[in-house]
Amino acid sequence: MTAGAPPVLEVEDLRVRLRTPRGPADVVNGLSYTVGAGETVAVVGESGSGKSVSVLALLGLLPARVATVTGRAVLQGEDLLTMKPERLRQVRGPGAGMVFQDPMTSLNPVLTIGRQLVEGIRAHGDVDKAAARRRAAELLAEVGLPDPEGTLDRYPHELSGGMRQRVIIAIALSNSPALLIADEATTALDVTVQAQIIDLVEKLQAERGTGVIWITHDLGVVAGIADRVLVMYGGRCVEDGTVDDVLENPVHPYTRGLLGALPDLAQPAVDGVVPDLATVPGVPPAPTDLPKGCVFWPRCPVRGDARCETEQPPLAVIGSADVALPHRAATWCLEGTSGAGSPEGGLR
Amino acid sequence: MTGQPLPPPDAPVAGQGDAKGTSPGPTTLRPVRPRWRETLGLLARNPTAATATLVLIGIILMSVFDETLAPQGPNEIDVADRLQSPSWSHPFGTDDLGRDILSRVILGAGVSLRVGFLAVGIALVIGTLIGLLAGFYGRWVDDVLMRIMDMFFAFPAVLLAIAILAVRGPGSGNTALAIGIVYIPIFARVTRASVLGVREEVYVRASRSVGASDLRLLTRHVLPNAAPPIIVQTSISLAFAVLAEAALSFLGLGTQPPSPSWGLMLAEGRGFIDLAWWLAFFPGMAIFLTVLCFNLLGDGLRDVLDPKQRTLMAGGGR
Amino acid sequence: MSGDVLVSARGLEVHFPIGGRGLRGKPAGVLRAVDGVDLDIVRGETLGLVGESGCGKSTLGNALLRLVPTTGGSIMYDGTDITSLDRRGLKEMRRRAGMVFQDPFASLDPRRTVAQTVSEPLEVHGLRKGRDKAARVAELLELVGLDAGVAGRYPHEFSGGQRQRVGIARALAGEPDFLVCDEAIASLDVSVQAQVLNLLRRLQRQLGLTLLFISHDLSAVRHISDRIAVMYLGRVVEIGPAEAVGTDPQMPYTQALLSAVPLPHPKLERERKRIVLTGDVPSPAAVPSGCRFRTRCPYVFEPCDDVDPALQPVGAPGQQAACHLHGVVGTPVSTTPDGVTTTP
Repeated sequence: MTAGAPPVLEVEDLRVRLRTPRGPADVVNGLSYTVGAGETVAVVGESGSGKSVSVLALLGLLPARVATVTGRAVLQGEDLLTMKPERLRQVRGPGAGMVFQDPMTSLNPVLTIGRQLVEGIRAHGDVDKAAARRRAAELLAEVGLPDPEGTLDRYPHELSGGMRQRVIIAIALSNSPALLIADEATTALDVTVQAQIIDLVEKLQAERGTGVIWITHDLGVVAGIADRVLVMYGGRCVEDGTVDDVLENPVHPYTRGLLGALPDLAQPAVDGVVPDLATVPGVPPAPTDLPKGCVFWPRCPVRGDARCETEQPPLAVIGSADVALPHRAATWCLEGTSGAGSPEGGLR
Repeated sequence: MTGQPLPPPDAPVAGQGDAKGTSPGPTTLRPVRPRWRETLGLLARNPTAATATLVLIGIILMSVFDETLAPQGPNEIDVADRLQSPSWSHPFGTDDLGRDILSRVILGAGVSLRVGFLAVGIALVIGTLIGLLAGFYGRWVDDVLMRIMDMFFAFPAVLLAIAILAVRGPGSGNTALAIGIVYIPIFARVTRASVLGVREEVYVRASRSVGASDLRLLTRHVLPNAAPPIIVQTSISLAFAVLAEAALSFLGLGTQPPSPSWGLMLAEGRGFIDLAWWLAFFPGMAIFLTVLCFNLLGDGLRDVLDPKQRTLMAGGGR
Repeated sequence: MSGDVLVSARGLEVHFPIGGRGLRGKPAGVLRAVDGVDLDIVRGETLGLVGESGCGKSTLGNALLRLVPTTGGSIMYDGTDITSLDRRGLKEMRRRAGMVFQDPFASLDPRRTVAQTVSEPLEVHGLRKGRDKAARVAELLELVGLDAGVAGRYPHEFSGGQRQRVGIARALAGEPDFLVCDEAIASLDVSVQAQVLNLLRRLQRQLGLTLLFISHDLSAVRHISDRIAVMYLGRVVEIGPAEAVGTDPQMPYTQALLSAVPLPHPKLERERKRIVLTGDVPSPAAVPSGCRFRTRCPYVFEPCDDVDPALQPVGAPGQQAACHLHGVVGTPVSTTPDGVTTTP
């Protein structure tokens, strides 16, 4: 993070354990990161990596009956994880807005868009109905919906997927949150609409200085939107750093595998023949049954160290540690030296 | 569970042999377990449903071995022992003709259950067939079949049963027929609703895409997957059928005296309610217990057969 | 375009009535999911079909296998018009053409074992019996990279990628020449997508299949396809060799679509100029007259309102686009007596 301004969100050693019929599942295992004002942090991972659960846990959206959350998550000076439920509810609107994948199920189908927006605005601010409605119309205009006044009186099913996702973003932004969490927010949308939504979020973020956590499996989206990237696998951060470091010079075998597995629109053919994609064999581990050593070990093509099988590698700085965002990876198999740099914030 | 072949105990986990990390094959798989066994296992973990099932098995066994179990014949009249309150020699007491109530309750189980199973069997077969065709083919087939079912539904059930019995005459066979006909639309509706969901499933289209005929789609894919609500309905309908048999017998339209039907015993005991409560109480309890257990079993099956519950409880695919 | 055409659609239409269906009631409107598609698929090629949701690409794929009823036009499959087949002809056609579905969790019957699912085509067409059948199932499972030992297991015991392999094995059981993959990798994790893409490519080469690869993922389509067809609102608006369509698209819609695909290269992404289209795709129940892309096209000019553009050769050999920027070719819009404009 840049010196001076304190981060919007500071997560430290976040752990989530879920009770399942197959025994306890360690879904998130010691996740630490910060989100600065106006910064976009992309959390990347496949299904089961714990990326969605990690943010649901922050906002207290996991059922307490099955989830045990430990660690610290400080949002603007207050720890979300020790907060009382009533306070957490107050914080959710103005503190952190959330945009989920499916724009249809996030909206109540029997209420008009206006009702749902006005409700959110009035729940967190002392405004009368007419003022809240005016504000709602302004918000819809801000997210680029044509005919904001008319849209207020329409029902969710009358809007297209892209328009609905804009409404969700308007609701999430209605209380000018310091943090916006987007969980696969554009996954269900077409690429042309996705481009519109990404442009919109970037524009609003620049205007308001909102910190953004963008959860996705799409490395292409990450390249376009993120300042820094956190790659999750088996509930751990296996690599993080600036978007250029992680995507252009990945060091963790998993990140490399993920990038190699992407069909590339930019440079596909070699002498007129498209080569096969590199694949990561196997499937991600179940959180109930994580491997003992490095989480990626069972699928790893490198396995260059005796400790892979037995010892969990710490997140270690790659290259220079004297930069704002050091590039870190949790692997024993660094090129050249094993365990280069000084282990920092080890995960045990 | 008797007679069913048992699957081999925890078969070795497949796919381990090639799991050197290079194969995309399965890494850890649970041993094969047929669905019905999984269902039973889940049911056993639900204490209410498990108890209900055990009680029902008890009642059914009782009706099978009624002749051996009953201390006396159902119609052994002993005028000297009239209206005896419960005692060691007559645990449930005796009625106005000196007949042993315990024996009559035991022997009445067979009558009640036979009528119940027969009635639900009729409704199940015909109703499911109608619902299957209406739901799968839709359009005019659906319109015609379901309008006919609506007509059945519009009629008060008891009235319809009474009309059928009036035409065909009383007796337990006709009672079963009447109750069965009344229940057909219920099964037709439940089946149709379930089939409407299943027929849109991708696996049905996938099966069609490889050339499967309608008959194959219906019997191999649609019916098995539409079955859970029908099974639940069967259990609940059994409860209502036992109750309906009792009601019709109580009204004098069902089982005829001197057969020991629970409903009939209830009707006969009604006159002595101040004098000898046990005449009505024990057959009433028998009806209550049977109906309750079928209902509890139905509820348990509903929970167990719900795919979401199943995933949660068995920890299936995520 | 040369070569031996296996599947050929001419003026293909799939229209769905929408709105209430009373006893005598007329439908309230018509949804033109597929609206006049001409398409040739050459034997042994992989044709990629891309477009956004609602463009009709899935409906087209289903129509080519007659899994949805067509309302107009013809489909020739290896010389036979399959729109007029009888029951027996249809069954044989379905043996010769297979389909792989999007959601591997929904496309396998949860109550049937892998062996039962994969052997269904064998039973339906009476191809193998008894021990031969089991051997063929094992062979198919190994062909798609699964252990033959999994035959007795149920779908819920598998991951998404493994289920999709089972789905592919089922589609291949009848030894088809033609395989339609309808968003076959869309529901899978990135690393698993690559496994399935490689598998499809291998099978295509090994078995000499003709593949129609339907996807909204342009990168994947570009990777696997020999040729690419781009659909918009029920019509093919551009088609050509993958290289040409992927690097030098001639239709403004294809250009916008390509420019919107996010690439995993941060530097490239920052420099890239994106053509951001305004608005959403119009509803296929209210297709604009003239060029159907004109409501969102950045280059819209006069003839676009009046003439429905036809595919014409532009750019590289074999490349065709339906756009008036390359010369006005197409069907003029006719006006019906009550003033409603339609494109015939």
